[in-house]
Amino acid sequence: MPRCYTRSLLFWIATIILVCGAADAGADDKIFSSRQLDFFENKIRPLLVQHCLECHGPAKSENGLRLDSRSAILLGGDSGPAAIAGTPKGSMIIQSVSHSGDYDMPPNKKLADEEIAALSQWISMELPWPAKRPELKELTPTEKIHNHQTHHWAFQPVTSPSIPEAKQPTSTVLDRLVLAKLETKNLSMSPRADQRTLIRRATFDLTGLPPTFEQVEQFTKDTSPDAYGKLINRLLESPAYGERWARHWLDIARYADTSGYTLNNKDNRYPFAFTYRDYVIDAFNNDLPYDEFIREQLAADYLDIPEDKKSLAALGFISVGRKYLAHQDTIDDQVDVVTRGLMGLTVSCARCHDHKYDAIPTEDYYSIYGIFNNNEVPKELPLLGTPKQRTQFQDYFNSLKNRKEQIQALRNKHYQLRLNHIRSSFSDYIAHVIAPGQAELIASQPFAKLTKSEVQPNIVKQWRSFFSKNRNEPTVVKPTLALLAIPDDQFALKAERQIKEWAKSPGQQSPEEKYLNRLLAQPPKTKIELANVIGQLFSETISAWIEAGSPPPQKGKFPLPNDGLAKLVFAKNSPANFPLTELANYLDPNAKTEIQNLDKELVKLNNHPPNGLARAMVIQDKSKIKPTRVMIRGNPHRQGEVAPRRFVAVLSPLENGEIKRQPFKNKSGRLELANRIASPNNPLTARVFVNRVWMHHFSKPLVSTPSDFGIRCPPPVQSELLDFLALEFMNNNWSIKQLHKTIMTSDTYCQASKNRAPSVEVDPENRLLWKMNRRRLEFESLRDSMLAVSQQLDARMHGKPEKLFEANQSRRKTIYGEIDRQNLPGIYRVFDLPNPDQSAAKRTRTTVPQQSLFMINSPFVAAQANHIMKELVSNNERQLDQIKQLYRTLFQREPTPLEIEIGSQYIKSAELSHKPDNLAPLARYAQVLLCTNEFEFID
Amino acid sequence: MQRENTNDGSLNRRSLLKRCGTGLAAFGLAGLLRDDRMLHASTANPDEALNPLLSKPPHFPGKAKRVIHLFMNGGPSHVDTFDYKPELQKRDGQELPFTLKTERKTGVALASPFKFKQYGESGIHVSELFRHTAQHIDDIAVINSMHADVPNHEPSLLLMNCGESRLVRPSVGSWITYGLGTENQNLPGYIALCPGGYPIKDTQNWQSAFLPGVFQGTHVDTKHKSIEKLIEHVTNAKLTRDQQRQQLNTLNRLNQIHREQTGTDSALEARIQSYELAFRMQMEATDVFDVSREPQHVLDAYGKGVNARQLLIARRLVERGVRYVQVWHGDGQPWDNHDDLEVNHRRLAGECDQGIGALLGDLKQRGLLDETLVIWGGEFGRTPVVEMPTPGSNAGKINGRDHNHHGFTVWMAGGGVKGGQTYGATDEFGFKATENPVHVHDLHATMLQLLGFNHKQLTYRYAGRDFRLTDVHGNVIRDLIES
Repeated sequence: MPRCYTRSLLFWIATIILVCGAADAGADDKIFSSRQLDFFENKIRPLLVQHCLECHGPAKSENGLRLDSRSAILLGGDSGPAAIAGTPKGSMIIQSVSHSGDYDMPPNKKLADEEIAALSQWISMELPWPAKRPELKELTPTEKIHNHQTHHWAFQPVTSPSIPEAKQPTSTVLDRLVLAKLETKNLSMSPRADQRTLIRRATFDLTGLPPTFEQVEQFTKDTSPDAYGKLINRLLESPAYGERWARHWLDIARYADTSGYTLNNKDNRYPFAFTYRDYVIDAFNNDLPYDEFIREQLAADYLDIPEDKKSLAALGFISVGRKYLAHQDTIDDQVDVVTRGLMGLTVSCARCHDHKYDAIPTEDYYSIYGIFNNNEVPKELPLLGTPKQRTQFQDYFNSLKNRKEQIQALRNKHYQLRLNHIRSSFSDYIAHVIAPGQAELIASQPFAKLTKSEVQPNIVKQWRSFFSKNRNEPTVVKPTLALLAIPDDQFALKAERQIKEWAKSPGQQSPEEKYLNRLLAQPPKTKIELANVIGQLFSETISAWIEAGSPPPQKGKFPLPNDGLAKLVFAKNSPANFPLTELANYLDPNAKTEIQNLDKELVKLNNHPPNGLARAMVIQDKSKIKPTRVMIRGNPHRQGEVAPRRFVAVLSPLENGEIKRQPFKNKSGRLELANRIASPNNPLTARVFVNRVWMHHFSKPLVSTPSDFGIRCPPPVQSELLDFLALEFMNNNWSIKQLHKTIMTSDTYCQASKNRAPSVEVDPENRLLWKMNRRRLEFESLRDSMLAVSQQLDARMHGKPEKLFEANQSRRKTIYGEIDRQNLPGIYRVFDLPNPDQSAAKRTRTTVPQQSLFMINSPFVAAQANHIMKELVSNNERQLDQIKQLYRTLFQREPTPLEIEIGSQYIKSAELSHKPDNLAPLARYAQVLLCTNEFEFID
Repeated sequence: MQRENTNDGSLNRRSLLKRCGTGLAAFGLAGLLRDDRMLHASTANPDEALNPLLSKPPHFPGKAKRVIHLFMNGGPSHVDTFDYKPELQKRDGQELPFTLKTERKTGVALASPFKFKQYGESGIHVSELFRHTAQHIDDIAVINSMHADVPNHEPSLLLMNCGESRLVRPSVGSWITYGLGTENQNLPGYIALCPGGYPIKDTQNWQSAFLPGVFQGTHVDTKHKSIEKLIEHVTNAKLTRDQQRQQLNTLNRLNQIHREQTGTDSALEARIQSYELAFRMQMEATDVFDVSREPQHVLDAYGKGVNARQLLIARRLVERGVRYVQVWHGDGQPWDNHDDLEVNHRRLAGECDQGIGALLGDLKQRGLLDETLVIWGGEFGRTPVVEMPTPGSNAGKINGRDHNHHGFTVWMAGGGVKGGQTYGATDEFGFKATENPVHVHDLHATMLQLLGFNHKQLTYRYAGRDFRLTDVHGNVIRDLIES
């Protein structure tokens, strides 16, 4: 073994593979001095391991290039040799790391100058590399888990960070952590923002709406020390708080009101997805503890259910995802939303192979998969509300019931018709199975009961499959097959000979008595006649049974002598005895359409319930829980080992080299899974959530990949702060509202947002939090704010979704807009709403002209401008007052004299160019103000 | 070369700069980009974080700068168009020595009812259906050995458009606009033209999936002629241009005052710029879709009907720097001729052949073909054998072909493609790709190569891993590329 550099390296590198090794094979005989080799080991090997081998090593050789042996480097990849010994300048490695060639490597960052210099020096020394070949060693899965558990920051228990002494007076512990980091760079916090900025910031943050002018006035005048604290409390109590924060959560939950693409234009509506959305709103408003929130979303059906059953709606978290045409993909989406959404663990990456980076073997994926694969959506979703509330929908329930009964009656009718048809024409159908393609001949037989067109192809198919499935049945089918094997032209003769043979010396191959006797009595001359023999016997068996009073045949119990014929006729898969559930396989096309049409009407009735009627989009455990096997390379047709339903290994304790975890025992194991996630001992859950909350308050998360806390995620700059918040959060009984207070009452949060020297040069990305980040309103806030300032906002909560941009424009909050994931309105994508097919951790933020087109041209914005104008005109006569009122409403401040002047100048010129069908001048002015940066950005 | 159209929007450096919003270059905020998971390998443009559609260089210089994808949705029959099979003609009505599983039941060999002829110096056979297109055969590389995974529309459409047949993945156009941005900020960078509504699978065909929403294709229903129905919010019913200009001037003054208080902030600047861009987009978009501005001889060359019009629109779009234009033949799946193939293929080709020929000629004449990759094809081809009747669909008719993913034809032209060649081949009847098979992933890898990308390096990190268009597949077909 080489000296152990891994200790000094970032640990995770070791998890890929200890570098060097077999790839050294062929290292030429070049001898290097120990000083040169030391240089390689100290300067070069760590660098290669840390920056290059992930892509150019044993796991992956991008562009055909490996950098894990001297010979491989000299040989190079698709683009030629990576290095020329002794010539650093001509070496592609040097060109790439100094970003002067075709490639810029490593891809996301440039090496330090001294590292590039070291590489150059090494190449001029002709690439010293130890000639020995230490063994290539790959970590075992358990070693990898141990390695990650020991070293990766996010898998360490959340512990209380040591709180540094503050050199400056600060309000909160949080601030002391932030300040300590700032002080290492000789930076300081920005001054506290002014009162108007603070109330605007807090109000938008918590409610997504602007404060009113009066609220701002009152707050700026309130000099009491707890004025700000009271403000936060008031905002947290506002119903709008839940609506705002539920929307953040719905991004995680990939919420939509439709299921996606359906075949044959089937209705793809999720008529009750909204009950999940409403549940989330209420959970935030009621400050439902986050651990409880998780448990309900995964396993509400296992927990105490209140009388109104509202908690059941939480299960929508699992069920509102896209329904893929392949069932496995739908389950995959559920695995993903649970593991990535709640724990920042990318378990879905292990669907086809072990996770490339994290210690998540494929088996773990199928352990979680097995939990959700053992769930189903019940035929009828449970109703929400108390029994008393439900009485108002009695008419609707009646029509639902009638429709169902109608369908049932129709099905029963056709079922009886079909059974009778089959039971009265055994010989015909068996003849069709035995002699395919001879319809004419069969129809002309004396026994034939059906004309050619009366024979139903689907029933022939069922009989054929029945006989094929029972081909090994010894007393009827096997002997028949033996006879059928005789060529047609010799049938009469040889069949009779065979039958007599059986009669003479009964053996294992002979038919049962009744069948044999009949064959002896009337030896069939043709195969079609043979069909009639069997058909008659089947028919007699059935008739005898019907005469006997037709008790329903039960498993293993036969109404008549327990012979082979009865066993066949009454077998589970016998067309003569098919169950109602399989009616579709036997129906004729017309009856099928008739039933389908009624079914469609029922779907329509179900999908368009009366207002107020709500059902929970639950899932439930299947009645029979089945083990799940690993699908090798994700292929459902290649089954591997059974993957017990249990928690992932990397989050399970490792003792003496063994992973301690028990398979889940309680049905599908959903509750056990929920408990393992919503546990203070889970190192990820709280960290992931507080990071998400932080992100929405500061518009930047502490951990930059909010849904991937795996080993490729480096510890955040503010790791102590993250742990402090996570611990506080859990200690406060997972109270989300308390978490907001902890964050929002800090000096850090209350800082002004202006740039300052020297901080902006030292830390331009504000990682150390020397200021508040200025934010642009998301689409929901932007639209809702426009409705709010135009006094048009329909503040009703909850209920069915509405189409927001149809001709008859909805005035509801954006969260109540219908999200059709199959055809997402273009405006949502233009304004960066995440794709509702995948759990989204962080919205992209773009500035594109289509957004501005919406602001200057959409009927929606024009309508709000008009409403604002009407309000102004009815309240004020003087133009000055109108402008003032506008500024107060939109920006919660007084206009400056310059702004008043600009305003009146504009109105004047707008009046000059006004034509009757134009937007009125004052409305045009209001629209300008709605378009301003001041309206769209929060300081 | 005649240039009667003075309002011509062709690209030159100056107009390009103007359209790119030069103002943006002045403000920069590096870092946001890295934060936002943009792992594009080219030099990061600091403005990209704010407007990720700004034009940017690929990994290496590529001949193709933009793409027109002519999508014959439903699956055009290759043996009736670009894959000439004399043996099939001979065996008309006979059982083939083998059969392959397709969507439905098939029967005996069905000879093509269309006449084939050799065209150009290359002498490639093309059927009478595409005789106008065939005039340009020496610029066309006909890939006769395409193959996909399954004989069904939905997965095959997604495979052809997104490189993955089941899961939600970004479309080719999204990847390309993500990689290259677009050259004209006054128009969407990725436009899907489809008359009458949506194809099967709807907007999923041009989805951006986990890529930012700006990379999603903008659907334009070319059945309409009025601009407000073509692009959302591009016109204002209540105000004239001048009145809007007044508004924007005032807006700029107010934003200026705001900026004095806040200090410089690239996000604020970008917002200001984007109003100016939007204002210009109104004019540019109105102009680009108005084909009546074309001289009569151009209109005549493209021919009549909605396909002719949208092919001309496609030319006007790429001419103005739109990066990726997809031209769908129509809503649903028009080329899906399970029966009456002769009548229907003749009608469908009649709707687009003249326009496609005119488009290729037009692009060439304007010097745009060298930089514009034109691709023609469907999601799969059709069987050389006849489809047997199925109750409820093509009952009683035995004159069509079933879906065929085992072998089909796609052709490419322009943008660095080595024309005048056929590449790969199907068996003697045209059932299965046998010689140099080209999978859809290979086609994608080759497209990206032509555009200057190593398909393995155009990646985006999402949910813990780096995704790419070709997933873990794809081989660049070097023979298709002009050296």
